[in-house]
Amino acid sequence: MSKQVGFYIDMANCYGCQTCQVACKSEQGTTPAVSWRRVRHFDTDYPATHGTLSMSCNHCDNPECLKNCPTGAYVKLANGIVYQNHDKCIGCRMCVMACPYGAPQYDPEEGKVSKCSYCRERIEAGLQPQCVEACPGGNIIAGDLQELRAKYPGAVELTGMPKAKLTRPSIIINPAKAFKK
Amino acid sequence: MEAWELPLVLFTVLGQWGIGIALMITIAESVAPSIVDSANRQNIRFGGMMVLPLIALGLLFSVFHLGTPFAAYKALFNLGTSMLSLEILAFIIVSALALVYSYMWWKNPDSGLRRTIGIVLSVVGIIAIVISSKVYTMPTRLGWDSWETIAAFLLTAVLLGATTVAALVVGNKATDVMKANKVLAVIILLAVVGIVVTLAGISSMYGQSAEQSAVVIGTFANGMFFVRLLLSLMIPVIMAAYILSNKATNNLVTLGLGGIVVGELLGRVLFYSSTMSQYPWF
Repeated sequence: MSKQVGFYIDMANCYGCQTCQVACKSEQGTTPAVSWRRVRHFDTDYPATHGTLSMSCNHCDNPECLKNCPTGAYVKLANGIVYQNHDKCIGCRMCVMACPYGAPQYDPEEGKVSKCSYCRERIEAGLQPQCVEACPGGNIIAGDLQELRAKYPGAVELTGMPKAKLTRPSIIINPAKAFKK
Repeated sequence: MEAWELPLVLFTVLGQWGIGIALMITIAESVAPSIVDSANRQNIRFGGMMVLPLIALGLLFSVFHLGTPFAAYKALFNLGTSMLSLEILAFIIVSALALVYSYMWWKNPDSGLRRTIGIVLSVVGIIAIVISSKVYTMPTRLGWDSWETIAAFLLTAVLLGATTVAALVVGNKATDVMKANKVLAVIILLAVVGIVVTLAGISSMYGQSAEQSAVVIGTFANGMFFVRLLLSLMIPVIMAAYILSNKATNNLVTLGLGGIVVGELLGRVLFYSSTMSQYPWF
């Protein structure tokens, strides 16, 4: 079985400080229109619940962005990272339409799309992705997906999220209390 | 306004219109071979010559959808898995055929080769339209991933093509041309029935998922939908009735055609905006 990197996201312990989002922007230098990592809010009034989920590209096993991109800008690396060769992007936004998680984002100023690279350069230098290092609660853990699954049981899909069977995202979520049955 | 995706609206509708004209001229000519020699010769020749500019204009508009238009050629680099790459290739082939087709209508309308190219263009064009619709039937976009998308694209070609050719040959009292007119009127009516069935299919998506429900609301609760109902459903029915009762004139059908084109453009705006306005998806 080929290697596949992934993220474990501890939603139950996340309080939505968005440090991961800011650290990602700072590391990657993305423009104001683009946030590779975003903190989603899952709040309800009745009953009163609060939940935040930090998510970027899920480096899916079956990436729709890769399949639909007309220029072949996306590749699946040997370690499982879904990597975008930015020079090949023509800004057609097919990947934006195809990804159910909204991971590829269009920058109108540049006229191109970009997305999380799992901090490929940092990984190759033996470092962790910037979001993982920055999270004050240690709620994002990067690593081999099989090892993460063995260590952290959790879900790949919550109510209101895209169906995991479509793209098979490389994530494990420890759901917030409101999502636990 | 951004969710309207105007370059894509113009690309798809103009391309389908051009292909529809070639298809309907082929059908009309097979029903009434003398149609090219009839009193409407100049009109139908004009129709044949329209095919290339419509498809070429559509392709030109499609480039403006890109963030970097000058890199448009790169869209052909992933023919293995990308339907968009395949769509661009298909429309390049259609454009080449349309170039020969329209040129022959201009220079040599009586040629048998022109008829053959018309048949080839019609078949390849229909395949191109199906490929074009398959660009959007992605499993991850629930509002588009259905037979309704394919049907909607094909029906635009049929409705606009049949109405355009009817506008060009209507009023001719030659027996076989009148027969061709009646066939075109029946095709217009069938296209309207097809559009109604397609709209019913879209409405039945309501409740299946949040995205599909939003598509239904975005389509049917939009004021443009009611304008489209009038322009691309009611006007064609009235026009077909006039054609079948031999009361239609060129001017009347041409006026109706203008309305139908606007109606189809609005319908395509609704197709894109009802889904694209939901971004970010999650």
